[in-house]
Amino acid sequence: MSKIKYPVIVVAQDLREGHVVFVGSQGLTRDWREAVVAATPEAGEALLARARIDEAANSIVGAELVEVEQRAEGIRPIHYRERFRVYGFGRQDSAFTDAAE
Amino acid sequence: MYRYDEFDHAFVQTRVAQFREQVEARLAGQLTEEEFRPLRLMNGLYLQLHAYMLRIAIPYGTLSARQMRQLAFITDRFDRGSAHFTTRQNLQLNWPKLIETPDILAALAEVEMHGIQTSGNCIRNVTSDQYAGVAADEIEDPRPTGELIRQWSTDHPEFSFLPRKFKIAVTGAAMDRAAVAAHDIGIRVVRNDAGEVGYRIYVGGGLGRTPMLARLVREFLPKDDLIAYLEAIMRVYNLFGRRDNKYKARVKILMHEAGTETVKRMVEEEFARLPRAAINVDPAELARIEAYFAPPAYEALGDEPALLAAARQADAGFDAFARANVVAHKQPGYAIVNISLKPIGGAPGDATSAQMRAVADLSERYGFGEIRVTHAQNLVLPDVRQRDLPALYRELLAAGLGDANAGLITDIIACPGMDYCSLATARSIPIAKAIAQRFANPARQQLIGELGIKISGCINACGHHHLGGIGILGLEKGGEESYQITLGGDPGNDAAIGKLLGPGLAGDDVPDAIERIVDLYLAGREAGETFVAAYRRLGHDHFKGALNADRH
Ligand code: SF4
Repeated sequence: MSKIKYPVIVVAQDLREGHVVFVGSQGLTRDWREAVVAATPEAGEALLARARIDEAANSIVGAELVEVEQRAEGIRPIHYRERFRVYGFGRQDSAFTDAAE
Repeated sequence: MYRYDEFDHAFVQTRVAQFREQVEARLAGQLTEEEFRPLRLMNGLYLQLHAYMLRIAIPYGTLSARQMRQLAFITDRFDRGSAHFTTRQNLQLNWPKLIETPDILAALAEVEMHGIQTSGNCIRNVTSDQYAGVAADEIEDPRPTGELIRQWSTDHPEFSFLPRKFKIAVTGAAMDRAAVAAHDIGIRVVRNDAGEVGYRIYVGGGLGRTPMLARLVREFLPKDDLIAYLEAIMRVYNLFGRRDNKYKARVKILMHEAGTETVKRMVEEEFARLPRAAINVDPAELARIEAYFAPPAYEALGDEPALLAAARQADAGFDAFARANVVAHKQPGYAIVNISLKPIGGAPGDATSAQMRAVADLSERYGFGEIRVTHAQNLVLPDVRQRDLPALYRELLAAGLGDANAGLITDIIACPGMDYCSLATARSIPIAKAIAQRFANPARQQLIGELGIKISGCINACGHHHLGGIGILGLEKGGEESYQITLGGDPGNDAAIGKLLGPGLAGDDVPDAIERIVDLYLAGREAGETFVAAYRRLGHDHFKGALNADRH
């Protein structure tokens, strides 16, 4: 694994239904705009620790840190794969225009 | 069609009940995700980028109208109203929920379907010629053989934990439409000099990271010996196939490393050792299976050249449809009809529940209630009276299924790619859409003629890009999607792996590059020459210039 660069958010999937979820300030959320952004390794670990509690409670699976950058209009995952995942299916449907841009 | 026996019914029902318990145990925390994952995969349930995905087996690509209606019902009730037919003649649901999957499996079991052995290191769903039993160029219907293999391989204790997944294809026709050379075992029904029907066996094909074509290991195998011979191949593979490295675990690597002659000798030795009589199926059992595939009650009809010529004259759309989508049937007065799931601008292989129901209805009104699924991600009505073709065409048009592009440049094979698949390195579907839009003009498609474009969203090659006349592989390069183009691949009798044309392109540049390749083909071809034939004559370098403008 290459070293993680910050800031990050936590992305996971709902165990029962499979949809993508984020760790938000009020708990899990399906809206990427509500995802808590962690700017440091410590904050990232703390965010992941919160997700591990939900994993242990069998409500989500596959929690992981996803690198983002902060833009005026909101966060933007660094890697295109995560942009597709975070912004959601169909948001990238127009060919080769960058998701959410 | 084959009907499950008591054993099959009991087996599938037991698996549904087991999975229901396993899901409950997972939700209650009695199973961890690590423990649960292999259990759900054994039933075809994956977790993809945005959702779960359920892969449903369609053995040898044959569906009844009843099964198709049930699939439509499931698609409406448990998914978003459309589903995806794959290159392995499977159906994938893209949005099932884990909590509803036991109900989906129960609904599938009602029509003798399931997702078992659509994942994992086992013998996967057996694939076959989509025209099995009706093709004019067929020696014998390959489906009884497919069914025999399905029964033999289902839940076989010795072959449930193979070094890697294992794929078998069987065809009974002179023209290979099942891409047997791309399978771990490829089986062709053949007739020997004495007039006996038997099998020609190929081993060691596979695409993916290290594409290889299967090699001939047995020129003629008597029919009765099939299961013992397959068992011998599987034993050799199980014993000598590599388990240390998953990239080297396919039987193709064993063939490559040990050599065809060595593997052949080991298989023959094992075959000689096996108690054949105990392993082979009783010919009476094979006859029982064959009876299920007996031809339907065809009417005694004559061919209808005058009627069809007049209909084609009167309707240019029907003319194009008849040319591209209608294929010769072995029975006089009948025809095979391909239903394209490649509308311009659509995702290849996707069908809505309404379309699935329409096809089920049409299969009953214009046939015997049977539907085929092709590895090119289209559907087939196998038994249409020639005189019904114009009416069927109009109904297909009304259902949004009248595209006259089977086998043409817009009949693009594409895997789900990064729109869905968690293994993907790039998207496939938008590339397919962009190319289809570029070549949307029907006259231009007909001018270009038969040409297979195949797209995979990663090196796993589910889109069979190595076998495309034009193959496209989506990769990541420098943090962006990048597409490599290969030329000269061929899934048929003269199977060939495509050759890389040059460095990867940005997605936006792919349609232009394809257009330049096509222009070079049109400029260089001789009368009647297909793309692949022209490629072979003109040579790879003839096409090199096609990439120059778009280096990425
Ligand atoms: S080729 Fe790759 S991206 Fe496409 S379906 Fe297969 S694994 Fe997924």
